[in-house]
Amino acid sequence: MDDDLPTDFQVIVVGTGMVESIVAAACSRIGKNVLHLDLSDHYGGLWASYNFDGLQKFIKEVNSDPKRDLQVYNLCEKWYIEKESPEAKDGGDENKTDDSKAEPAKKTWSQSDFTAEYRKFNIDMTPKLLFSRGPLVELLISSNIARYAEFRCVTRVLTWLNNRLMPVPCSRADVFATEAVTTVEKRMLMKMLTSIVGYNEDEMNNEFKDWNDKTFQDYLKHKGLTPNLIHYVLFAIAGGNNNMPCLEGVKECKKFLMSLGRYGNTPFLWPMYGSGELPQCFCRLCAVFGGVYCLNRPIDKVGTKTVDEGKTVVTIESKAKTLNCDHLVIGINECPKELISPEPAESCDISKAVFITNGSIMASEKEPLSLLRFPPLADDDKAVTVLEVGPATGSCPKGLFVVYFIASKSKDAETDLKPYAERIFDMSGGDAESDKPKCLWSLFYNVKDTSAPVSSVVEGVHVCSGPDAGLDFDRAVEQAEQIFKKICPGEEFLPRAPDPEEIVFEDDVTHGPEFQRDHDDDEPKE
Amino acid sequence: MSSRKKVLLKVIILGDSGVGKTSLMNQFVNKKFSNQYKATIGADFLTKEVIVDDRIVTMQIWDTAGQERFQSLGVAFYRGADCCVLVFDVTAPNTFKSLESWRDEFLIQASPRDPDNFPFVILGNKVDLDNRAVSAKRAQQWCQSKNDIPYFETSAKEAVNVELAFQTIARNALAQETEAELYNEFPDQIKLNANDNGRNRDGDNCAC
Repeated sequence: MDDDLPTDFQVIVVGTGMVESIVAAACSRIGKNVLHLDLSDHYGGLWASYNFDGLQKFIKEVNSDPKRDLQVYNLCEKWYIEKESPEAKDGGDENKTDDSKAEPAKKTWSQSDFTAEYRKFNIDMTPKLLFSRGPLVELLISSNIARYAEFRCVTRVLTWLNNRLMPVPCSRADVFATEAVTTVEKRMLMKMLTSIVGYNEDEMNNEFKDWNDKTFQDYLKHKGLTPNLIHYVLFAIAGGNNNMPCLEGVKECKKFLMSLGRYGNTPFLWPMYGSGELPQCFCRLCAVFGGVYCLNRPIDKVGTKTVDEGKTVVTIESKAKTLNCDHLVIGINECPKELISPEPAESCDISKAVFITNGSIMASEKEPLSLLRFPPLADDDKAVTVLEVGPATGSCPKGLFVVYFIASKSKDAETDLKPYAERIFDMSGGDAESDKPKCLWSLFYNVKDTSAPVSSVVEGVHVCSGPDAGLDFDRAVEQAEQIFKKICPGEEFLPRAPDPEEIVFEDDVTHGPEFQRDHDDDEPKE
Repeated sequence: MSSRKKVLLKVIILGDSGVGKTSLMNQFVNKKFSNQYKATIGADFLTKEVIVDDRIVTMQIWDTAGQERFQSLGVAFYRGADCCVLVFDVTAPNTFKSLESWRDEFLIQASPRDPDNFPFVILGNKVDLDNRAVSAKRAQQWCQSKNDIPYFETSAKEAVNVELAFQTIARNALAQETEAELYNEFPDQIKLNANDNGRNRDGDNCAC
């Protein structure tokens, strides 16, 4: 079957991470002949989502392959529940009539229940949110790729204040309704937020011109905000810390505020079935426009050769076949080291954790989807971002929640994140009653931060960064557009793809996906 | 569940490359056929309204976009399917043999709630050609052995049985959908579109 694989392409993309997939879609969309490969049998690379079985395989793979160790390390998986349910009578079996009136007693989960329902899990290696008016949402809409995806709104933003979880008022209605803030505070807050929305990078207005080298915290204090309000704005809305520069804080706040009111009560969207769905949406568009897809395709060597007229093509050895292209777009983890120049600057790696729990971190009438921003618990700690997603997102079976922790690494993932997890979960593994949800399973790991842009020593080779520690996809979108502009200067980046009903299937189109508006119904047909 | 609610059915078509998946869709929706074989380009999904038992149903039929050629369909393609159409070419026995693995692949990737009763429909396509190599009997036997999957012999070229087959697909998908609605597991999903831009303009655009 593989022998059918054509060998000459304008663009070959290796790796199906977010950046690679966007570039593949953009090149194919404007008519480039694209081959898109992945070494593994699934889409997404480090951006993938796994079901529980797939995740187990991933863990095994990392632990057994020293090369994987370079990207993902300090992997530590732990169970807090028994292998089998004590009585098998209501464990394991999928209860189909769940919408019973009375609140059912909490199910006692066992490891074998997870195994039995492994397909209902979609666990993200790179969980991220979309700002409702952020670049990815705008791109999905303008390119019409949005039709391949569905989303849910984040229902609430939480923070950790005075040793407990607190909802952060997001919308105007929230602010007025909340009792945590006095009327005077509300007025001050509104005034300050108004000036932030008025902030414009190009024309530094008076409000911020003297704040260039000061912290955001100082600015908030200067505006007379009370400690509680400063906490909300600095940690929960701007996602910052005590040292956050003022203008960065202003920019983050503005981004948050500008995305309010589009889809729900918070500025954030979460993709159904997880972030790992999004690269696949871009891949589908690439395929629809003629891109060729081949998973499970290892590459052995990347080189160049000079053909007639002194033109250089990039060559890839793969399964005893030589593939040729004008441009190779390759993920940093797939790219042979000797092609990368200069060595990417040492950056701070990422500490991550995934927890599966038997309830939400904070009770709620409807199933919540929460973003929690933990301020640093100790002075030298980093802020921790927490995302909690439930069954309605397609992430896990009913009765469970998947909770992601993300922070910059200081020591190792477990040391960095466990103290935070213990504040909101019962991690004792016992049967004792607790007001906190029980942690049933956890995974800690570190990921190398490969998000810094790198270039290649070989012309025609474009290296894509890996996932960053940020909350959104903005950097991936920005980088993909830059790479596309290098490959296809002057071309439009992902112009709107036509809807299916606008497409005419022609008898005699032999090349390229040239779409036409359906204006001519009586064209000759055989 | 009110029957007046608009029903959207996701139907996916699977089968080896070249069996006529895109042509079948195109014949059903656009009443057009192209004889020239080319790997699927530009085929995404087609939408058609049909009436099933006095209910208006919108069928959204998803093509593989050629990603099946090197076994590279991702799990996202399979999500939320209400019916799966498996196509083989009656002149190419290998494409018939592949049905089993396509069915398995679907059940693994889509992980439907009730795999034993998930609606599949099998289409033996290209019956207009002379060099037939898979007999109707053989195909029917296989379908019976798989929990009685409905089987149709079609010609996308001559529009044989295409309408009938898709009616059955819609009906069976609808039966599946109605069952699924009882659980109502995932209400309130959001589809992004440009029209949302102006939504809630006088609401909470920002907190100021």
